Amino acid sequence: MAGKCLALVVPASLAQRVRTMLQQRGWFNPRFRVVRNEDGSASIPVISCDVSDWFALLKEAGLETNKTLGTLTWRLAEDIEFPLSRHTPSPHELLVKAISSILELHKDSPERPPDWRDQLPRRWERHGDLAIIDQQAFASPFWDSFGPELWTAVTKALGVRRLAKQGRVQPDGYRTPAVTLLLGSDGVVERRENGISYTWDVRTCMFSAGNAHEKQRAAMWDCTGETVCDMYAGIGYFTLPVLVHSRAKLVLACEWNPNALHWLSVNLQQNGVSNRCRILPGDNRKAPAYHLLLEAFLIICIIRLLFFSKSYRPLDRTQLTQAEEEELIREWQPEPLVPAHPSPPYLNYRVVSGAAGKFVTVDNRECLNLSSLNFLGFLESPRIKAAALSSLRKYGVGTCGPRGFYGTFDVHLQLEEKLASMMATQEAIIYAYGPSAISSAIPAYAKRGDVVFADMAVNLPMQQGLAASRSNVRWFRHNDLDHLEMLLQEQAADDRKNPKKARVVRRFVVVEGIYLNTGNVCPLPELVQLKYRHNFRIFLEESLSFGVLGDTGRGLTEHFGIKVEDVDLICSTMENSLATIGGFCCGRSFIIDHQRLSGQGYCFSASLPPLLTSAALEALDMIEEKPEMFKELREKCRLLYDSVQGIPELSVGGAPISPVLHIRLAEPSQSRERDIATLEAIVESCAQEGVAITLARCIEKDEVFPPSPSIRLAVNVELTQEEIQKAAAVLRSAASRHLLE
Amino acid sequence: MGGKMPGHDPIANGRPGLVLHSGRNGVVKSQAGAKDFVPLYQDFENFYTRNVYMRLRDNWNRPICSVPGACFDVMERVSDDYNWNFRFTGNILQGVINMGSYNYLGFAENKGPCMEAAAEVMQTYGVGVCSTRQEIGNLDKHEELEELTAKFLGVEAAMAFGMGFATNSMNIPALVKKGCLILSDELNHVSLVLGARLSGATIRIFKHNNMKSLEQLLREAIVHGQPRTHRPWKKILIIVEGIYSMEGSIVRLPEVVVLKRKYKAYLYLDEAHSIGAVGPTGRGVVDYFGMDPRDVDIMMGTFTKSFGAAGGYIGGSKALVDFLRANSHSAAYATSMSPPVAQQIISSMKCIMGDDGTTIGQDRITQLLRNTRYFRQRLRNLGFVIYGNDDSPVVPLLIYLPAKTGAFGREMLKRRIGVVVVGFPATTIIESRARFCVSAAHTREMLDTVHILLLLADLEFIFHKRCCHRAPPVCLLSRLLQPNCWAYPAEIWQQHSSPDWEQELQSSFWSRDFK
Repeated sequence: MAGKCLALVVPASLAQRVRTMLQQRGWFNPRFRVVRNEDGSASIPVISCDVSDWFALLKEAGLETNKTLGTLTWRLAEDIEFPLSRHTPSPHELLVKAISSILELHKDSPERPPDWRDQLPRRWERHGDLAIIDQQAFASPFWDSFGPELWTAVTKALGVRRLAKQGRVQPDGYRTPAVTLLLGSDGVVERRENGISYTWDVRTCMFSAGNAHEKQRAAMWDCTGETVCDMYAGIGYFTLPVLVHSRAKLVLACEWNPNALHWLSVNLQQNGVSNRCRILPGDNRKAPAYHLLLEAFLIICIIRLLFFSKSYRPLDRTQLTQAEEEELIREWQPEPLVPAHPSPPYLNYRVVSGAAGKFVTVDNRECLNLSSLNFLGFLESPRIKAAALSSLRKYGVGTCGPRGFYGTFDVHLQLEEKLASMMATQEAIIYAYGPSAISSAIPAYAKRGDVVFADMAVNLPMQQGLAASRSNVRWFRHNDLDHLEMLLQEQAADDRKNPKKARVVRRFVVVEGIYLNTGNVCPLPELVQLKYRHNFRIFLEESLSFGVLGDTGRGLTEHFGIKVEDVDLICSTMENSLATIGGFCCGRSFIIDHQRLSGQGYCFSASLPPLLTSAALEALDMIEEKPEMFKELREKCRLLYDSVQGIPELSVGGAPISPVLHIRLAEPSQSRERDIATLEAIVESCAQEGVAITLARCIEKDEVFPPSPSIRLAVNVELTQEEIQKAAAVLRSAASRHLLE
Repeated sequence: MGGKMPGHDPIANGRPGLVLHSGRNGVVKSQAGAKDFVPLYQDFENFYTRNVYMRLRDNWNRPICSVPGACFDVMERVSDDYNWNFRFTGNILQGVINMGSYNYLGFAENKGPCMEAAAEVMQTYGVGVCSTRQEIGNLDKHEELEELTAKFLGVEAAMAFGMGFATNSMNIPALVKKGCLILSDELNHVSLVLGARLSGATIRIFKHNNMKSLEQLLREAIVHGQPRTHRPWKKILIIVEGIYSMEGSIVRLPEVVVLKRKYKAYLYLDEAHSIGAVGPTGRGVVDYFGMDPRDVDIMMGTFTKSFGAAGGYIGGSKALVDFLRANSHSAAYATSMSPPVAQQIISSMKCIMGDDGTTIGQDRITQLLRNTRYFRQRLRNLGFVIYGNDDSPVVPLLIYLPAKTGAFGREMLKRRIGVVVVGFPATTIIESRARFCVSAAHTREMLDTVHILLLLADLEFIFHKRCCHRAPPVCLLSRLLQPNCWAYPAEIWQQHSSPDWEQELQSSFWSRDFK
């Protein structure tokens, strides 16, 4: 049996004397016994009170009070373990005894209540040398006559020096405890818990000893470097543990009770943490006047809207009878779903058996292939096939889900990283389908009301992206930057008229690196100059220039030596040079990452099959390893360009460095169908002579500016000089046969 | 490169000061100095991103590094900054039960005849095509695939496309134009919505699977004609899905067909989730209801899900397919389907049809149905609120609160179960849910494990800490579903206080080993 108590440590020889003196003054704690320590001193259990009171007593006992000289003759120690005294009566017993003796002294006092014993306190709270007895204790008016004498007896019995009585917790929102002080001068108490000292006035602030565990738990959180907000700080119940033990960087303590606020700041200072706490006093329910006005205004608006507005009636329809309706329904004949006899421009596809590499078997005839966009000849690369095969053996074919729902494979992340590092951008994002990259990217940024300046020759997926964005599209003539600047100036003039609107209207320019529809190269340097003059963003589609232009195949920016950062978004398919499937966008993380939530073709479509992803990775490796192939490719492009010049009745469209060239009729007839038929005939006779070329297909009615019919030639780096020249010769002879006859 | 760009960054978001944005490579700062540029996207557009998505972000895009079969391996990643950035720990969570992939018939495989056939085709054809169908990318494999698809669907002709999403978004514009009316179910997939928008036709929305709403719109449309001009509509196209991927509900096809006939509308049926997954022979919802495929004008579907491949198809009359061959954007502008992918579809479709001389396909269809009914029945018995048709392998389990979905997804992954959690905007904001996709490849033990973990899981954030394991399941669940406690009739309590459930759970729970 033992307990903890404040101790006075004195030399053992004087212990007996000191104890007697303490007992006389009532400062000795009778619940415990004196303990003899090993170092020749003795610890005496005492009731805490002001240290200054001790000096006189100890001097009387013959002890040095000057602690600085020589050995320490006495000291106070907190929380020393003491054995309980052998015949210790419980405090309640002591109380009963003390009160009985007082009642004995005042035998003559009137009508002592028969249940006086029950009115003695059974439970009390102790904070230091102050005890708070509960509300029901000494309830009868009988006790009032005794005055301080009674309270002194109670304090002695409870082993404290001050006494207070609990009242009802007041319903004032502060939960003021309503404690009345019965004995003692003030209600300020101090309590140490977990190495934190709490000071407060019991008359004005609450404190519950039962929360110690919860406070301990709060102290165990690791809040290093964090900012913590204590919404109901009080005297610092949780604020202090979080500051002292959890090492929070800053605590914002909210409190509205002025008393609690006072003690909170005292406690913060006492514990040396006031510099890390910001107290926010006040009641957040107190609304400022403007707020009340605003609310009143809103209420008026709502009432107006509900009761005084006209209901929405878009059409004042005339009511038809049931029979009339039935008749209308019976009579209505829809158009057929598809025209019964469609004019079939390209209905009969040519069937290719086997791979469409350098040679291709079209309709069972082996031909030299100048129509696939397989510029680097990767379609038949055994290395890519091997990489794809090992991927297939690991992952299977499909991904069975969009990127968000377990459709992200490690190879996707690798490919995105690889593309980003190759293009020297921060981030890349891959799409499962070539056209969906650009057609998802544009509407991810351009919204209704924005202005997009687009080249008239952009390909259809880009046109679809523009349509999906519902932005205001301004078309400028193909590769004509003067026209673009004119439109930009018009826009600037509009902006000046309406600067408010101009601040929220985004401006984009969408262009292609090499235009699929013309084979021309976009004048990027001039465009970038314009960009900083007119503050628009550039979206560049590089399907034909990625893996083609530039010394190492990085595309148009490398070709012109322009920083990649000057172009905001680069988009490309992986279906041409890389000879796999899918597309990608790359640029700054800030821009690209937006597509991961807003790119519809990315979010809502199954991801790219891993085997195709691995093929793209391998293809990129090959590009990095053999940059000299791009020089070779350009030589071949130039050779083809030169070889097809000067064919009578035909004109050549496209840049000499472009891997695709468009062969058009020099003098087209009035009828598009007839021109297509003429070109088809040329294509057919080329096929008969072993050269596979193709018309550039388009769906005329869906194009905003339908390109004139053309034969599109594509270069494959694996074609030899002789083969290119032979193909040109075949084209020349076929053309002369059909056009000059 | 790939890190942060130093110095001047004039084109990023044109907002002065710092705007933090996430990126896989690190937190990216859009810097001052771009004041003249209008911000690339508005801050209020980011409200959802910042406040909801960021907190739940770790539940999506979880990278995996194995075949997405019945179980898969998930790459463990952690975030040091509350999901702004992730880093990989290098650990692989192996053998996670896959309840997230749309692998309905279990054809996501890395061995077996389908894979071997695909490998062989890849050796001959390469992986890409480098040309479009209309130019020189029309391989014999594609023709074979289309012929087989038509036969499989029981229609005159079919056409295959390289991407399921694009099948919708690029072909609907070919079929309807300005002056036509599209009646679209309110829960239709984004690709259908996009296709409808791109078409320029007028779009009206009817309530999900609600035939009254559809009929009312049809009547009104025919009686009143186009708005303002009152001219009659040129065509009316009803667009529905077979199985709705977030609801698990099956379209009420017989009633739709009756309405379509009565009002002479055309029907576009998107069977992305239903083809292969329902019907006694796996032919989708048409088969499920025992109807004639010719009742549906446009049969659209994807190869991503049941066939374990990629791409989509459209089947229908010969006239329709001929028209599409000439007019589809996919045919004229997009590279055609990768040959190994086409082969995977051919092989798996033949397997489903029994053309490979085995009953594997039919067995898988039966197994899927059995698994679906079992899984749904168990969940329902346990007192969960699940949506959808009893035969639909898409099983949404309602969680309601967005914040709880995050905790649910994480806790399930801890227990080696990969589930998909979805919330706004894919569902309404108060109907956040977890979604399970049942597969024929799942074994009974796997499904049991999922059930058991759903119960035993002391998912304290979701179910509340005070619920101990021994509490009857409904106790856990009613807490899980607190906002809708009223949905729980008292019978459920009685139904689940049977003493043997606990024993049953423990017997199979502790012996868990699938790998």
